[in-house]
Amino acid sequence: MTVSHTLLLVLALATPQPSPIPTPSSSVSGSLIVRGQLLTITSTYLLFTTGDAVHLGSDTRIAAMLHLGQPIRVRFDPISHHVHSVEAAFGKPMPGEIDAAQLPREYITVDAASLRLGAHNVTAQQARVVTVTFTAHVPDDTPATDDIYISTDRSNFSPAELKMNRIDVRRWNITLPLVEGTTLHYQYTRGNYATVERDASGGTVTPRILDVHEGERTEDTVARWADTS
Amino acid sequence: MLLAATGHVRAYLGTRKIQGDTLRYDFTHNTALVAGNVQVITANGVFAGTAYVLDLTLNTATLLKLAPIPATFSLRDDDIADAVEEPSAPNTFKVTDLGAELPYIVSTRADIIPNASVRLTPARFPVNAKLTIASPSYMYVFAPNPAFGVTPPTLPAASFDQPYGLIGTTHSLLAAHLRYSTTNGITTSLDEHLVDGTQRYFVASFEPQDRHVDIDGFEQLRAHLTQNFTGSLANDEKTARYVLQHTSKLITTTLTLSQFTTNIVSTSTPNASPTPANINGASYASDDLQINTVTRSLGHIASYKLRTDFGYDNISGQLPYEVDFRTTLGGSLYTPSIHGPLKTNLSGEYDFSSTHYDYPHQYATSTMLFTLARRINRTLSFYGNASFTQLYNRYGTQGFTNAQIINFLGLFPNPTQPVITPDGTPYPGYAAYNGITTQRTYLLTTTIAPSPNFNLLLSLTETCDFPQFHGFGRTPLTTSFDLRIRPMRTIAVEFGRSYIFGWDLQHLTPQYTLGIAP
Repeated sequence: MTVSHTLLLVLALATPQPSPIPTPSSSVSGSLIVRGQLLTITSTYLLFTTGDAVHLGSDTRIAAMLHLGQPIRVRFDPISHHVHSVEAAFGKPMPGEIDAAQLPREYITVDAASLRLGAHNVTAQQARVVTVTFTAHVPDDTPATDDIYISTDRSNFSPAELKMNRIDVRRWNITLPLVEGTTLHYQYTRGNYATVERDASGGTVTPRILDVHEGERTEDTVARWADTS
Repeated sequence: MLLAATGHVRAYLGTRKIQGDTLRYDFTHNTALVAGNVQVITANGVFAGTAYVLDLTLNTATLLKLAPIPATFSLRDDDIADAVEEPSAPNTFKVTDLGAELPYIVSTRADIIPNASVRLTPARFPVNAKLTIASPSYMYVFAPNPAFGVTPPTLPAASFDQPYGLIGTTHSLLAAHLRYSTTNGITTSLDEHLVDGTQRYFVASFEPQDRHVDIDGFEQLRAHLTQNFTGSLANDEKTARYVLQHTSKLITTTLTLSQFTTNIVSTSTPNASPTPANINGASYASDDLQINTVTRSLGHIASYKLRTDFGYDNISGQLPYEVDFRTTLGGSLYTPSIHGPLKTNLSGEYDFSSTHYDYPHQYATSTMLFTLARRINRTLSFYGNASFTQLYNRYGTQGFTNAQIINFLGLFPNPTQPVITPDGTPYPGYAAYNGITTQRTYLLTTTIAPSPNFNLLLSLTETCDFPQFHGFGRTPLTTSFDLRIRPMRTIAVEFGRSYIFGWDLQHLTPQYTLGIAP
């Protein structure tokens, strides 16, 4: 397949997991304020990534340089239910803001057959970097003078990507900053491909998979190494 | 890992063509989202909408239309005639905000092979907001298989190795490598990976400068049976090695066949064993049948592992023993990690191995290792170990004539021609000592890691050997540090330096290492 025009390849980013959202509360100055993520804007509608379309007013103020996925703050006219203004949203939600997933139905313009499923649709938030600690238990016959490395798909599984810290003779760990919601494939090595981990019967192993969340800790056991038996 | 495209995007996905204002393609999940003025041209017709989400694996899609009235439709095989108007599943249009992210690569055209690779033409690599590095084309491999993309075992180690993907599919990858090593300088090489799941792989590499060809093939024949073949072909050396290994619940049986041929005339070394390194213009074969027990526990007290090896070495033209059979017995005993005083963790292990040759030679080693670890807090931890190794390396001459013994001297160190050390003193070498030698090593390591972005490792190693000759042998004292910092979230820099000192002509000799990782 081929894609053309301005392309940005972003590594270590994927769809983030839902984050806690504020409870719906009162509006500010009489208008409803909604925080959501922008899907697109047409001449008539604004679409959130929830899939909901809302009507733009005739004099809606729209900030410049908004892009797909951008967190936005949308103010609604309480009478017409049309969008009054759209601006980029940064930082924590303002008091009184509600999430786009909890936008009252009367504000949404959509065919009845397409009404979204329930209210458990949660808007994605900005990508967040969290720390994840990996702990590896190595086999008894691991050479005591060797270092243990973690090898991930971020480096195309370079076998000496990152050296881990020794906890004791058979436990090693490392803490990495990763983007929440991303998926990391990884394995352990002793620094080169001839010493990658293998399964108990000597076969190659499928890389371990980690879905990155806040406070994640992994405890992995290496069954054996490629160069030991 | 995402590909983000903006501004009149055209995507050719299989037989369909999709146009829109913006696009996101998720390599991991093989899904695409197109938003803004979407037009989809397929074999079944043309339709338009405001947003379109396509799962390329399942060939299902969701179309969001605003006209004549806003509605969402589910499609299968892009068939708009059979589209069903229904609510979209939760998070169908969910995307990640990339506003603050510095992209890894910027381009105007991407050719994607699903689950394998993407080629970007041309490619620009932003270093920061202003500076970019340009390349006419670049292929990024995202196949979730470790056999892809790694610096393969077939290429020798290098100080710098930058792979550049040329052709990549779901099962193969051809890459060029730009490399630097202190011995060969700047070189280029090619390598090809063929991968079939986790069952088998084949890697070949070629270095044009010295016409060096290496191959490495692995196959899992059955659940507990694997085979591995490695080979190397260079101007003056040829090596081949085949390993067949069976693992059961109790033992691992390994058959190893290896062959080495060289035209290189090497200089004399203090090594005693007839290894390839000290064979002059000869061929060398070595075959082994090794049986190891798997590590078995003795309750909670300890675990152990036993091993035996029966093999032979065949050195062409070497008299009087062209073929030398040998038998090895050995084993290891490991204690678990136990809690010691002052919140320490203690452990120990003992390893013993003895090899008897038909040729009058016995070689035995025994090693005791004691370790101690203490974690003070999240930031500071200590690790220390002490190892004691005894080497018994004896050549018997009983029953041989003087002429035969003189012939043997080609195979074991000649006490009349010792190595001359840097300060001019003759050194017979450890192996030439007719008895037991001892190597003692003491290591203390301190790790200071106040955050994931800063990690400092300090270590001090002391060796105390017998016989230990100053100016030759193991360095009595080595101190080193290894600093890993992460100046940016996506880049880690490792800087290391070590000093060896305390022996004769060597004082404070620094050695540097520098590495960059994601």
